[in-house]
Amino acid sequence: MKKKSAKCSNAVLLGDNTMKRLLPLLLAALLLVSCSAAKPNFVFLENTAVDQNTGLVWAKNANMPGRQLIWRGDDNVYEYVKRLNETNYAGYADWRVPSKNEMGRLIEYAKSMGYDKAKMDTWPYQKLRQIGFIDVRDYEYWTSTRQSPTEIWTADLASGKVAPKQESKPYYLWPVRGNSSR
Amino acid sequence: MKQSRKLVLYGMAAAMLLATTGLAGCSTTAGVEATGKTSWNEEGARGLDKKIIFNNSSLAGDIEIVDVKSALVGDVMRVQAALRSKDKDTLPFQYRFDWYDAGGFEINSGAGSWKPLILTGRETKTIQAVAPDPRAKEFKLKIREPDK
Repeated sequence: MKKKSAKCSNAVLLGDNTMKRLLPLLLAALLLVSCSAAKPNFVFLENTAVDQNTGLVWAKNANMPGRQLIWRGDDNVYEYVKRLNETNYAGYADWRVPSKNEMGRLIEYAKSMGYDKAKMDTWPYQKLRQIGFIDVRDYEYWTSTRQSPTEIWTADLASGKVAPKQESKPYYLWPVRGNSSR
Repeated sequence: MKQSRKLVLYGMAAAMLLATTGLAGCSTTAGVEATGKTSWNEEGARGLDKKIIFNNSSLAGDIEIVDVKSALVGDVMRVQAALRSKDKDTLPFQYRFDWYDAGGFEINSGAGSWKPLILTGRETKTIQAVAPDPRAKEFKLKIREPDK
């Protein structure tokens, strides 16, 4: 009996020591996992880029219309997204305008790859081009988040700023599909 | 002297009466008018702001504009209106569509002609029109009694 209990306490002691050694490693691993969960993790396909962490699917081409679009009027953002869904672009019929949080997270991700205001090649649009997106413009993009009856949040992929702007001006559109926490 | 003064006053009153009736005749459509203006909601979806104006009480009592809707054919505006007779007798009248651009300027001014339509008692009929070109963002459907 005595031998058995001694063995047990040794095992507990060994376990404690191992735990003490492993704890910092476990914490570091946990931190890494939580960081990578917040950041996008893209897999590039023919026409899309799938963010494996959020499940969002972005159009690989960040300037599909080939021009800036207006919000209200003929041939606007709504009409363009509607056409994408009617034609089942890339096999999906639930394309939409990204929210300000989704655009914000994309910009944060681009900035996390080394952003220096003084160096143009580190600006978000350049970093997003470098990882595989096509025709990312150094200008403002629409989000679906409304600020007021006349203002909508836009995301500037040159400066990285996300701010409300007058909806009467034209901006670029980068369609997304799938759900995130928005 | 008094008589001539009275005559002048009566003359002036008659002239004023003629002028006002004449002006009224020119400024309004003697009938029913339905206007529709293209609009976009907060999501950017296209819609139609509708308004129906009755300038003629007898026609207003006879005809009801039940529904007005618009859609795009390619990039050209198409309008459909459903008209219902409130009368039990046959009702002849005329209608026409006028088209305006986003700034409110008439397109092909005066090119549209009055078309005849007959509604039998309590009947509902739909009429349709397609804008002359893609600039059209607003329309007016005018309805009047037929020429006598």
